[in-house]
Amino acid sequence: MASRAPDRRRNNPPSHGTTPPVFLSTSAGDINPVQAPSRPPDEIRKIFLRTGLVSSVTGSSFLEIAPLKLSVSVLGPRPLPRTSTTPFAAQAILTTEVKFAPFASTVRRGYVRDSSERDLGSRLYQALVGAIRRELYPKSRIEVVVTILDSEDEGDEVNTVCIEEGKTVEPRFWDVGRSERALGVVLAGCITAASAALADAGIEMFDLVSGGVASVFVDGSEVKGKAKEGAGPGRRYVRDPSIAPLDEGAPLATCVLGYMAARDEISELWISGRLGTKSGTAEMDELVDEAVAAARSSRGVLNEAAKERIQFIVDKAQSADPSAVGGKDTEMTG
Amino acid sequence: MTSALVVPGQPLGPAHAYVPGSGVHVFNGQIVSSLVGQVVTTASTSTSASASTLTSTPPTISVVKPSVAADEEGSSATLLPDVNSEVLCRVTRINARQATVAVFVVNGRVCGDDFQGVIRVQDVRQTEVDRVRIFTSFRPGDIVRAKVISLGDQSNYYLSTAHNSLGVVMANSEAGDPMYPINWREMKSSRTGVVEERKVAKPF
Repeated sequence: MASRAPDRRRNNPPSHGTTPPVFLSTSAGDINPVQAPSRPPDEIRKIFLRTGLVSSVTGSSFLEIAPLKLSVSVLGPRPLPRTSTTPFAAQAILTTEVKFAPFASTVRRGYVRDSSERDLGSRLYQALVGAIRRELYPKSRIEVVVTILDSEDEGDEVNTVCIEEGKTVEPRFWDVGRSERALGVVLAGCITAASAALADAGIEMFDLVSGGVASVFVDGSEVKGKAKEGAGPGRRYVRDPSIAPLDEGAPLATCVLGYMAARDEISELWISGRLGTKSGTAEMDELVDEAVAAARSSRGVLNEAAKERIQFIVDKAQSADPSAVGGKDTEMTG
Repeated sequence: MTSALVVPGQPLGPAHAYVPGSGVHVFNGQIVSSLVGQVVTTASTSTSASASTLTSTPPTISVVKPSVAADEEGSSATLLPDVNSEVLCRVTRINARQATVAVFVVNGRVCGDDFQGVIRVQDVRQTEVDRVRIFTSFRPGDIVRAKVISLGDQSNYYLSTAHNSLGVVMANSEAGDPMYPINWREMKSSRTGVVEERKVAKPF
C-alpha cells in the first residue's frame, strides 16, 4: 500500500488513517427500531415540514417524520433541452427523481440509482402528475428531485443477514413486508414534501397531494395460524406504521397512496402483501380508508407548511408598512 | 382587497358569483385556488359598461403569491413566454433566413432560464417585407425588443419586430462601441460616428 504511488485523481484518504464506523448488528435478535413513543394506531407520527430552504431552486421543502429525513427541490418550469425528442409539448413535462443518500440507510447505498429508487420515482410521478396544471406551462419541464437523507429502509439486507448467519432461515414474522412498510413511509413522505415544494415554487395545482400509509396486521391477541380460517381472526389497522409492528401481530399488507383531500381523489395507490380472498375486498377497502385517513392527517400539516413561508413574507411586508398589523404564527406539528 | 392565505384545492366561492382570474380554476361549480397566496377580489371595470351596470358583472377573483421583494426573481420563476408577450432578447446568431435569439425578459420581468426564439426574415418589419435582409436588420449581440407571435416548434419561440416600437434597442458597432439610433433604419457609433444599418425600435 505504502509503496503505491499516491492517486492524485481521486479524493485521497487522510494520511493518518480512519477507523470504520461500527454499528450494532441488525441481524441479532434485537432489531429494535427507533424507540418511538407509543401512540394509538390511528395516529400518525409528528411531521416536521418546512419550505424554501434551498435558495438556488424554484421551490424546495424539507420533511422529517421520526427517522425519515428528506429534502425536495423543484426546478422549473424551464425550457426543454435542445436534444429533447418530443416534437412539441403542449403541457409541461414532469420528471421525478428519488435518490437515497449513500448514508441514508444502515446498509450503505451506491451513488447510481437502483431499482427501488427508480420505482419510487415513477410512483411519485404518478402521484403528482395529475395534480399539476401542466397545460399552463407549455414547452417546459418541471423537475422534482427528492434526496432521502435518512430512513428506516434497509433494503433487502435484513432477511439476507438472517439467512447468512445460519441461525434462522425463516425470517421472523414481523420482517414480512418490512421493507414495503419502510418504503411506504418514504413514498408517502416524498409525496407530501413534493407537494409542499411545488406549492413553494408557485406552480399552479388543482390540489395538494398528501401521502398516507397504513398497514394491516393480524390482531395480536389472536393465534397466528388462524389467519386462513375465514373471518375468524381480528384485524388491526395501523396508520403510518413503523417498520417493526406496535404489537405482536403478524403483518399482512401495506397500502400507500397519494390523496387529494379537497377533491377526494386518489392519485396513486400501492398495496403490497396478502389479504384473504374471501374477505379480501372488504379488508382492502378498509385498508385504503385507513391510508386515506393518514393522508388527511398529513394534509393538515401540509397546508400549514405551505402557508408558513408566504405568511412570513406577508408579515414582513406588513411590518415594513407601519399602518398594518402583524399576522398570526403557524403551528408546525401534526 | 386581500385576505387570509389559501392553499391549492381550497374553494373560494361559487363560480357564478365571480369571474375567475389568475391562480384559480373552476371545479364542480366552485372557484378553487391553484396557488398558495392571497385572495384578491377586484370589481369589474368594464370600459363599455356604464357605472349603473357594474353591479351586474361579477367581480374578478384571483390568487396572488406574494413575492419576497417587489422586483425579485422569485416571483418570475414560473414565467413563460406566451403569444403577444413583449420580450427582450439577445441575438445569438444570424443567417439569411432568420435571426436566432435568446429571450431573457418576458413582459418586463427577468426569467430564470433563457428561451430560444427566432425572428424570421418575413417577421422583421411590417412593410416592404420582400426587401428585408437579416444582415442589415440585426447583428449578433444586439438587444432586441420583440413580440411573441407563436409558441413555435419544439425548440424555438417565433418572434416578430413588425412594429415601430419593436426592433433593436441596444447595439454595439463592429468596432465594439455603443451606438445610438439616428433613424428607424440606422444607428451611429458614439465614438467613431460610423453608421450601421439596423431595424431600430422607436424610442419611447
